[in-house]
Amino acid sequence: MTGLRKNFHIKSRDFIRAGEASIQIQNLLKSLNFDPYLIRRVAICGYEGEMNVVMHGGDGSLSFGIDSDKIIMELSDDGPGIVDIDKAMQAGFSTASDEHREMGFGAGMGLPNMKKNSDEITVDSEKSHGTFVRMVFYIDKGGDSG
Amino acid sequence: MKDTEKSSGFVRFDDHLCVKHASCLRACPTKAIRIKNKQTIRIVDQCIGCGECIRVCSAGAVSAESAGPGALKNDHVAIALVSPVLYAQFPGVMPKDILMGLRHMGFQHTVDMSYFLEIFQCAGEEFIRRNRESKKVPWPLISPVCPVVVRLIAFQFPSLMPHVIPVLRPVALMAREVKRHIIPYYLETGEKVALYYINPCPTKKESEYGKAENQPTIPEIALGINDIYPELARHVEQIKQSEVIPFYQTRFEYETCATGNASMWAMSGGEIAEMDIDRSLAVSGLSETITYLEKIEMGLFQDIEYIEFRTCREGCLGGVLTAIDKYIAKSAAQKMVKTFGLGRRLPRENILRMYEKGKFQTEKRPAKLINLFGAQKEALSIELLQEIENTLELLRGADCGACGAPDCRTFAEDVARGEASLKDCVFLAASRIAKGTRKKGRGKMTVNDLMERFDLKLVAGEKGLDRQVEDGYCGDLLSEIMANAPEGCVWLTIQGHQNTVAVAVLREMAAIIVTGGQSADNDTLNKANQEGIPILLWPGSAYQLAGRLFSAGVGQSQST
Repeated sequence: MTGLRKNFHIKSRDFIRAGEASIQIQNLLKSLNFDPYLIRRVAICGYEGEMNVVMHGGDGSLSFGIDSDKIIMELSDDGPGIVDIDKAMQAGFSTASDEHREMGFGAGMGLPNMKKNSDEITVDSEKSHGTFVRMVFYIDKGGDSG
Repeated sequence: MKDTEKSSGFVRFDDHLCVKHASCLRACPTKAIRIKNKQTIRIVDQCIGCGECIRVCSAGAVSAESAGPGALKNDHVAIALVSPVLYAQFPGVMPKDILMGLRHMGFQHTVDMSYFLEIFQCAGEEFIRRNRESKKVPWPLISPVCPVVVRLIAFQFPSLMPHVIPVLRPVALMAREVKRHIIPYYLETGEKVALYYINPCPTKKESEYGKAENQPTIPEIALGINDIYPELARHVEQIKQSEVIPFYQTRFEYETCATGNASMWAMSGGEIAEMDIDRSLAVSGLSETITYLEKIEMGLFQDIEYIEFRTCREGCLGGVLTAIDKYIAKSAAQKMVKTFGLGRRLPRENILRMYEKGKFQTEKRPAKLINLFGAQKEALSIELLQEIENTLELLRGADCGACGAPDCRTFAEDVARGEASLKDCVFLAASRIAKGTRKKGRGKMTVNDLMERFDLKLVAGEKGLDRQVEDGYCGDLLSEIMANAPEGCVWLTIQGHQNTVAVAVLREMAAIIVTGGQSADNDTLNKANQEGIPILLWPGSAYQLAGRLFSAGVGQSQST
């Protein structure tokens, strides 16, 4: 059978509900008894991704899928896009506003953190055409927790 | 225990008193409670001892696993291990007088836990300080003081286990001290001894975590503060009135409590108030704790060094076995702290010397605890998870609890695990009844009619033989069937695995006919029996049977 797919809508600037999708994903993965550290990596990436969309991205979506050997997470939004992707991938680079910083965000760790915690990441973006991020996490079947 | 009672080890449920209003189902953070067959409360092995079910049950059917009032006997030396929450239960009374009251009640020794809380605090502080340099454990570190929090983490947030600081809990330190220094004295003289833990919550005694090395077993009894309160209150009142206060000799410093600020420990924030840590938080309440743990798991709060979690609102004085209201108790505790001020009793250097020798380190408990809880729930497969998602779409999502599960998601999971039947959902049943009355009397055939007419062999789901057959459908690709099969149809397929039943239930089919001489495996048959979906066998091809069914009138009114 094919794997599981799930879609979540992310609303622009909804700081209160940001993170809901990641919590749901976290709980789904827990019911599959996946390795706690894999779940944690996925949750961190999901949360960073959701926050990116909420802060910069306009409305967007998070789609999530589990196959037998990997977990795929895709975030897309119709926001302003990223001008210089290489720069955005560097730790500390941020375009967050003062408002974001007041809330404790904008350390410039979002994309770098997602890169660190995923096995593969592709970022596709163009100025004023939104952003698409795809992350892959491989499920290690070797351990007893696969 | 009465035979109508069931125990989780932390709490007891009395079927007799239960009125099935199901508030405990929803209150349970690990979703461990179900109502089955409209009468039985079933406790699955996921109880973490938070006591929320006791709090919400208005019928008094849930109680703590404690020895209850009158448990104190005269035939042995009784040692009371006293939670500082007790001090906040008597506004205006000094802790030492309350301990005295316990002695009047018949306890030969009273051990003040706040003494050990201070040792713990000092050791915990040292661990945090060292972690600043070694950075061995990721921030934020989590307090192990509340055992419910530790169990919650082990059960639902195992990746956070390393955050829990590996310092022995105050209760463990207290029990160790008593077993090393008070008990041996009596064992030498041949007297019988028992330990009484006076608790604000239904948490198990420390023996849950393994006994101290080379110690003979002695009875350990859990008492709720509310169990002893009426009697203790009488004695405390007497002590307050008497002019000559009797003097009791105590051998150890911790057998009495000379300060007033010990009651601070009972409040949320009491643990961190005196700690030398700038970035610390105190979080109390079960739902707040869960929200924070979820966020920590997503990488938040890394700028915080230490979090004191208490699953009871306002901290331990909000415990479910306390005797007076938590806000009154809080006010009493605050007044005490105001009078006596904060400050430590114990010399830090001594504690640090013991820390250096590793006296406060826990064994490899995290892994043990994870095994204790984590392994109990069997993992779902991706297919089952998909089935749950499909079922959820069908359910109303009202989380009404009428099925006996706390919410729709848990119900869907129980169905997928084969522990519940979709028939238990009242919304589904109502829509089925509505449809049934609409369609009755049109002279349609039932599954039984088809079976007899075409000589089909029934292998499972006899209960569903009187289902009306509205239409027919052929196919072997489950996703295509899920999308297109009409309601009330008989489904002709060569698939015989378990998922076919789920598909049939979801599409509300009348029956499954396995064609081509294929058969269904046992799991499928069991599930079909459970759901009341008839499975029939046809030795010939689907094409042949479909033609005959159509000629007999099945699905003709639907075709265009």
